[in-house]
Amino acid sequence: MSEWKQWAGLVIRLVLGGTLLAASWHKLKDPYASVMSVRAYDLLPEPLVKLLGYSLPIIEVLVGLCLILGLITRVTGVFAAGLMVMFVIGIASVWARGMEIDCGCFGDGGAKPGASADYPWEIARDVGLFLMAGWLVLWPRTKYAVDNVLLHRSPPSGDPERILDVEEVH
Amino acid sequence: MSKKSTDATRAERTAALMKEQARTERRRQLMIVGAVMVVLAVIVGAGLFVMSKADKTSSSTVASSPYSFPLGDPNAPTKVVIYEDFICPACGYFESVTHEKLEQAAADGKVYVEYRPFNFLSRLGPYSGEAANAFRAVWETAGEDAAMKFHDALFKDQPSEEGPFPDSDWFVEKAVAAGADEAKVRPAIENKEYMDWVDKATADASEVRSTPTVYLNGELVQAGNLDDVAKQVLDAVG
Repeated sequence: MSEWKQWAGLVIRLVLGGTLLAASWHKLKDPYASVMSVRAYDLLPEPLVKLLGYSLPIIEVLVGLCLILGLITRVTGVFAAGLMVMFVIGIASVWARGMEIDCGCFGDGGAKPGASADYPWEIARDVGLFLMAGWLVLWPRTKYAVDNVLLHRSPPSGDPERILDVEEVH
Repeated sequence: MSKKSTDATRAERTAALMKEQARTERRRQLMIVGAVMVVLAVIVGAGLFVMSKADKTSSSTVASSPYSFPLGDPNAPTKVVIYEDFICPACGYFESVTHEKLEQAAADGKVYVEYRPFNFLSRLGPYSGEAANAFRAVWETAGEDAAMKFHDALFKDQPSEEGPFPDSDWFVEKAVAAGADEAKVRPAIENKEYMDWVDKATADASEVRSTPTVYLNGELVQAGNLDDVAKQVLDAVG
């Protein structure tokens, strides 16, 4: 894979991972606020509201950390893309239903008059982040990633003949 | 065996070996990815447990509070506690849906309501505190009936949470209309004489994380939206 794509991948990892970490921080400190934010979307039954409210920040922080480290990049890319799809659906649905809520993306959610003015920008941002995640799914090989060590991404090069010779010793 | 056929065999074996090696490598990578995912899943599970432990308020029941404004007979079969902030638009909406019915039900002896106004949204400006102070001032100087009317009037003409916020005269005017004596209530409003009470009520409500927060017979009312909260309360009241 060409060199520049690996550098681009590194930048994307840091931007996407950093964004997710920033988004998770407030919710991790305040589980109740996180549950409130999810509840404000009025999309899920109450037991699922809690489950999602608790798990979302944990998933965000783990996916964010993995992206920054470059750990199982393709898989975390899939998760990040999934998160963004979920967020876009959520915001689009409150927009369609004429609700005015803070998206709760980086902090407290809940009712907020005039919030709908932010919806287009929030959706655009999440689509942008989705495309970044998609890039990592397509091209998971990036610079300075734990994967490069862990997975030995470049297969052992060298002379095929020599490999055979080694085998033939047995 | 000719030299040529030996070479061919050698090339085939090389290819097969490389293929085998690639397969092994692929399997090894998948196992590592799988192992990392298992570790992450365990962390998510542990995190869920920690989060549910750290979430103190959501399943809580309500304690009694000296900073409650009573409406109705304390021995009524249904008891409702409403934490609210005078500037919060959701509270204004909740009030518009519920207050007439609750006041009627309280008069009929069906429900006992405790309103617990506090300065939750101080970050939005001085209105929350000033309104709560004025409410306490009317309550102290003119009694519960006037305070109830004043409370309803504040929500009926609730200013936008983005301002502009009304001045003391606006509060005094509403207080007098609710039945307060201007000579007594004006200094209490202008000098914010009951700010100490408001601060204590706010400290007492520190567990409350959003407004309105409503308890029905001691249990937190949880619902997706305010209409559902109001419906649960009104259905219980009958």
